[in-house]
Amino acid sequence: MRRLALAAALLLAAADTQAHDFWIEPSTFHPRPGQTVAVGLRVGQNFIGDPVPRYSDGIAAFYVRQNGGDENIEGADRIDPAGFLRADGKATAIIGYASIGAYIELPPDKFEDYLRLYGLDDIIANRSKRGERDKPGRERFFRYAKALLTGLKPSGAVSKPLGLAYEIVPDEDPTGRPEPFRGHILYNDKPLADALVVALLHNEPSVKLQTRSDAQGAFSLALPRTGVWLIKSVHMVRAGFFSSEDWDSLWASLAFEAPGPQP
Amino acid sequence: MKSPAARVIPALTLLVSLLVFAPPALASDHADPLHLTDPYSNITGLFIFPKGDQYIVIFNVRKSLVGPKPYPLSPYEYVVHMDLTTPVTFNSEEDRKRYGGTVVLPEKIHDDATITVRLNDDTTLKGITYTGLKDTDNIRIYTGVRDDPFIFPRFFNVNVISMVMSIPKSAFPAGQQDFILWGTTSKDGKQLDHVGRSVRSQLPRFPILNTTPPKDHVNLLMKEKKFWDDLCNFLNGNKEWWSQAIAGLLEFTFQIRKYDLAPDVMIYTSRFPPGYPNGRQLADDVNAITCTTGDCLLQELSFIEGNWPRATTNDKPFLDDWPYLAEPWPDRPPPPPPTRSILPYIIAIVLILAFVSWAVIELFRRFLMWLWWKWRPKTQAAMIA
Repeated sequence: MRRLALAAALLLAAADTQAHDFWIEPSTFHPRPGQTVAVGLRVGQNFIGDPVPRYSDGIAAFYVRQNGGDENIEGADRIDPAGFLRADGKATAIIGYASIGAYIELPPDKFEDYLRLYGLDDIIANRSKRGERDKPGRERFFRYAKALLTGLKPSGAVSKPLGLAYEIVPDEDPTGRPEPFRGHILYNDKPLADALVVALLHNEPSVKLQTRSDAQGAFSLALPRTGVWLIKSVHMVRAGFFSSEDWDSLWASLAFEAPGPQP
Repeated sequence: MKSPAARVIPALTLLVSLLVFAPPALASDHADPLHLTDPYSNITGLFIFPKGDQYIVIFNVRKSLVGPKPYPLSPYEYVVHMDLTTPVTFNSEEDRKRYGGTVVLPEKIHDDATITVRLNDDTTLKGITYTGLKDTDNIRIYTGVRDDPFIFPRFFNVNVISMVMSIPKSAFPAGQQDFILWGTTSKDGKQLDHVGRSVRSQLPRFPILNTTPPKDHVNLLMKEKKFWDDLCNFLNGNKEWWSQAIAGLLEFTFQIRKYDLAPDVMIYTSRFPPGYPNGRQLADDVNAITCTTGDCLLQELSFIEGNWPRATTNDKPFLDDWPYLAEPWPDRPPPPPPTRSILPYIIAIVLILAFVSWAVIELFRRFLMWLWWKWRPKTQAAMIA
C-alpha cells in the first residue's frame, strides 16, 4: 500500500513538473579561478524554480567542459545542489546536463493546453489529423540543460555543440559581449526550423522575449538588460513504433549571465 | 521479528565496509586516537581574540593531561600559521555562521606569518621563532600546564599544555582586519596534527585534513566527496533494506556534506564582534554553536556523558588577567591503560574462518571426486578393474 502511495505521489510530482521548464542554476555565474561552484538543478516556470535534488539513475550526462576537457559533476543523491565543480575560471565554462527519459500521461485537455503553451501547434494539428485529440497524451520527456560560467575571457567552445539531442548553441560566447543573442537550435546535431525560442530574465517574470528559428535553425534575441538569462525551447516528435508512449518531448535550456554594455 | 542472521550479515557487511573504506583516523583536536599513539602532538584548541591593543592567541596540546611533569615535549614543534593576505569575504551568512567567512580561493592560502614554539620537558619555553611579524620583542608568551578550557564533560577536571601569546596589533601590517589562522604540530619534520576552525577536523569525515596544508583541503575534500557520494548513491540504489541502512550510516558519519567544501582554517576579522566562529574566545560554547550549523556529534556526546542541564561554561572560571586560562588541576596518577588485547580474538576468528574455508573446499573436492568415480567412462572403469 505504501509503495502504491509512493508511486502515485511520484507520478503526480512528475505530472506537476512535466510541463515546467528545467534549467541549471550554479551558485555563481562568475566563478574565480579555482572557486568551488555548487551546481543546482531547478524546475519551474518564468525562471522561478524549485530545487531538484540529484537522482543519479535519472542522469544520462552531467559534466562541465572547461580548459579543453570534460569533467563529470559528482554529487550525492537526494541532495540539492546536485553537484559541485572546481571552476577553471580562465575562460567561459559550459555545464551540460541530459536526463534519461521519463514517462508521463496527461488527460487530453491538459496535454493540449501544455502543447499550446509551449508553441507546439504542429503537434496539436498532428494529433487532430490522427484522430487522437480525445486520447490522453502519452509522452516521454528528456531534459537537456546547459549553463555558462563566465570566465576571465570568452571561450570558442561555447559556440560548439555539446552533442545533446536537443540543444541551444550560441553563435558567440554571450558572456563576453552584450546583446543581441544569436544562436542555433539543433536537433540530433541538425538545425531545426520553426522552433519556438523563449528568453526569460531572472527575477523579472514580466520580461519575456520569444522568436522562432529560421530555416537554418538560427534565431536572434535582443536581450534588453544585463543579468542572468534563460533561453529555452521545447521540441516534440512522434515516438518510435515500438515505444510505449506516443510522443517524445525534448526540453532544452541555456542559462548565462549577460554582461552590461561595454564602454 | 528479524532472524539473528538477518541482523548479523548487515552488521558484518557494515563492519567490513567501514574497515575497508574508512580513511585512516590520524589525528586532530580532542576526539581522535592520536592521543593513544603520540599524545604530545595532539592539538586540543586554537583561540584568537582581541584584548585592548593586543591579539591573544592560545594554542593547546595534549588532551586529558593529569600526570606530573616531566613530559616528552622536546621533539615537537608547535606552529601557529597566519595568512594575512588571502582575501576573505563575508557576503555569505551561511559561511559566516559556520566558518566565520568565506575563503573564495582556498588554494591561495599560505602563511605570511608564523610563530614556532618549542618546549622543554617541564613545559617551559625552549625556543620561539617568528616570521612575518614586526615588533616581536613586545610579544608576550606563557607556556605551561593549565585547565583544559574546552566546554565538554569528558575534558572537565583535566589539563592541557598551553602556549599563550599576546601579540601587539602593531606586529601586523597597519590596518590588518582579516586573519586566517591554523595550527600544526610536527615531529622530525613530519606534520602530525592540524587545527583550524574548532570542532572540525576531529569529526569522523575529516581525518584526511590533519596532515595536509589548508591550500590542499578543498581538492582533497572534493575527491573524498566523490568517493563517498558514489558509494552512498550505489548503496541507496539497491533494494535491500540493509544496503540503504549502511548508506544512511555512512551519510551520517563519513560522507562529505555539501557545506564541507571549505578549508579547515580559523577566520578572524575585526569587522565583526569577536567570538566563535569569528575567531574563538575562551568562554565560547563551541559545541552548541557548531551544532546550530549542522554538526552536532559533540553536542550529543556532551548530553550522553554529562549531566542535566548540559554544562555551557567551563568547569573552572577563567582568569581576567594573563594568562587568562584557568589554573591547572592538581596532578594525579593517570588512569591505568587497558591490559586486555583484542589480538587473541582476531586470531581466533581468522583461524575459524580458515578452518571453515578449508572444510568447504575439501567437501567440494570430495564431491567432485565422487561424481567422477560414479560417471567415469566404462572403458576406463573396465581397464581399472
